[in-house]
Amino acid sequence: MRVAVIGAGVIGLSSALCIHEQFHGLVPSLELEVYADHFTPHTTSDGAAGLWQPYLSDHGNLQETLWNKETFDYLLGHMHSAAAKEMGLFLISGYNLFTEPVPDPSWKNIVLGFRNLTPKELELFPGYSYGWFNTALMLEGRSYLPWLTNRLTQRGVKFFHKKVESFQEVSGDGVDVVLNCSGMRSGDLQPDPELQPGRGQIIKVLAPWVKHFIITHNLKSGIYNSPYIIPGTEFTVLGGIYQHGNWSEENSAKDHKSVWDSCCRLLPALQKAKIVDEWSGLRPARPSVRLERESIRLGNLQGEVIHNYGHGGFGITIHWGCAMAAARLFGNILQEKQQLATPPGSRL
Amino acid sequence: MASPKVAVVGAGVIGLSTALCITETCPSCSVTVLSDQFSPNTTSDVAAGMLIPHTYPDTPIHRQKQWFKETFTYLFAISNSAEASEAGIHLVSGWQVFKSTPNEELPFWSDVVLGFRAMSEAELSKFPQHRFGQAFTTLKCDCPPYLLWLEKRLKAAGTQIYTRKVADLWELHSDYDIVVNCAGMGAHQLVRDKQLFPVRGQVLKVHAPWVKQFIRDGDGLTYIYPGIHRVTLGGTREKGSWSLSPDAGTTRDIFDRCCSLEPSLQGARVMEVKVGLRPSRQCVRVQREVLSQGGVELPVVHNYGHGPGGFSVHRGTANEAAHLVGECISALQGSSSRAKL
Repeated sequence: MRVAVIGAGVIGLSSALCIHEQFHGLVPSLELEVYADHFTPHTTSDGAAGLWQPYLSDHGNLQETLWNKETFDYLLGHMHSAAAKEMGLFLISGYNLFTEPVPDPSWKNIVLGFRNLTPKELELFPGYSYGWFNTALMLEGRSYLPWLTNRLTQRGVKFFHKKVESFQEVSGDGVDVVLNCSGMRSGDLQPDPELQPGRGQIIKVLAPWVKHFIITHNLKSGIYNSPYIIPGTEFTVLGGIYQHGNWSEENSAKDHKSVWDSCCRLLPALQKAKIVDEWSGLRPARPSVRLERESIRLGNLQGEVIHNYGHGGFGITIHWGCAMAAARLFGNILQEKQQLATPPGSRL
Repeated sequence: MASPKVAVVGAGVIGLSTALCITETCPSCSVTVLSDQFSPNTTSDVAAGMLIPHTYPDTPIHRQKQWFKETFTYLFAISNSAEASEAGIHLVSGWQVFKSTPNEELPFWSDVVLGFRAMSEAELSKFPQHRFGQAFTTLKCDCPPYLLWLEKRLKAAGTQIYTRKVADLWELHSDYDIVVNCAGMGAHQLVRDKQLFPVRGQVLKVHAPWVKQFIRDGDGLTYIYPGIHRVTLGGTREKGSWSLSPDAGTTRDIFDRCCSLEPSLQGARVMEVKVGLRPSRQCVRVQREVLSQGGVELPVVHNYGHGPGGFSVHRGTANEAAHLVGECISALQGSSSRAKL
């Protein structure tokens, strides 16, 4: 049984690992191959700061809230292991700031110690009159993706550096299932007008005295169009750009100024911070995550594609829940195939 | 008295902050700092500089709380300013965990730090050996940056700073009108205070930049305090020990205890092992005294004996000491006008 995974960002690698962990024991012939044109540290996941935090509202999409929770709980479970450092996983507390009271988010009971900010805490952030404090997790792509790659390599998963142009391209030669984790470029494999870039630009600085994440919100401009500061292991990420429909991956001087000025206003000491890098990336935005099966005609055979893309700016936040869901879909496919191929009496 | 000459003995956090307060409350004073040690070789440089107060048995609680509040307010303003990184002052959140529920669940300082509350079940589940905990956000003063920043402010205010070992306060009476004793552990020799005793502390300064939260065991012996470049792992409380040499067995023990609170520390690199002697006393000595010898008087203000809580109350005690210096000046001016009559 051969499975081709397209995409080596957090979604592709974690889905591959989840499927291999669950099924290689049941299906000894299971062979997984990962195809991607970009590998760490050049994927979208590597550019993300890595903070676990969903958007403010799930818009009634309870499935996504559940996947977020599964991811948080899974990561929290790994916190106490010595692997945490290698995974780029650590606890971090911080602030979400608003200019007016807002309803509590869907994730208030998922994170640790969620509460409103006290008046004294709000003194730290002039211009903001309401906010939350909670403890969440950081999962840095620059560590997590290599960690996933190592786990997969140990399991005999093969990697191919290649830009895949079609599902057919990878599904000849006995490949039964294709896992489409191609993120922003899913539209190249199969048109999807609902998938649009949510362009972001970030500045990486050296500011090791910053120990909290600070995320401001401007309800009129929308998510991530308001300054945010996220301290990582080595660098602190300054951001606050979300441009829907903008495909440019070039850094813009205007966006740089906007991020720099607004973050320095938020934390005056940042003016002294040394800038070490700048990066633009495209969040693969979609009204909801596309996580579903599709039967595809592959030559004169029927093949199965499991789509797992469209995670916008919350890929890291939701990845493990989606990987588990993709694995369940894979399990269904397996069951169906077994029913067709296995003689009566034989069981999985 | 046109320009009172004030000597401050000691250049740890107490000496430097007291000198700074004096320049602020008495701009006409000429202030000189004298010390045999400066950053990075003071006791203050060993400490993590966390604002979590120690309770002094013989100092009234309201006074300790006032000291802490003044210190917290002062540093809070710096942490919020453009100077925060230069001054080494930053906010840090975390947990204090207890193996058994403490008698006092709400310490006197719980409303001074930010967001103080009991830890949730989910948070406590991370610490299977502990059954109660407190979560809050407080401030940390990283040394050397904070001491260097204080020195910079002092120099800008015209303060002279000299390396000098003062063996006896009387050495200073011909050059100075008032002496301020911030000698910390040195006060044991300098003023022969038998109530002052060392409590030896050993710490590890490690490289573990993924640790963003503090964790402290309520017994005060095991703690993890993330600073700007280093995480301080501690510690020990060895009453009466004067040894300044790091002990290898103690290093291993501290590392193990901290790893049991935070397993990811297994991957931390130990960069330095340091030892400091906490200048401990039943109460902090912030007090005026007039020394007298052969008809000559020397006004002295003491500000020492802060034990494990120096950073937490430094600005508050410095303010009080500066106020006492003001009283000394008034007394000197009073007696000099009487002398003129």
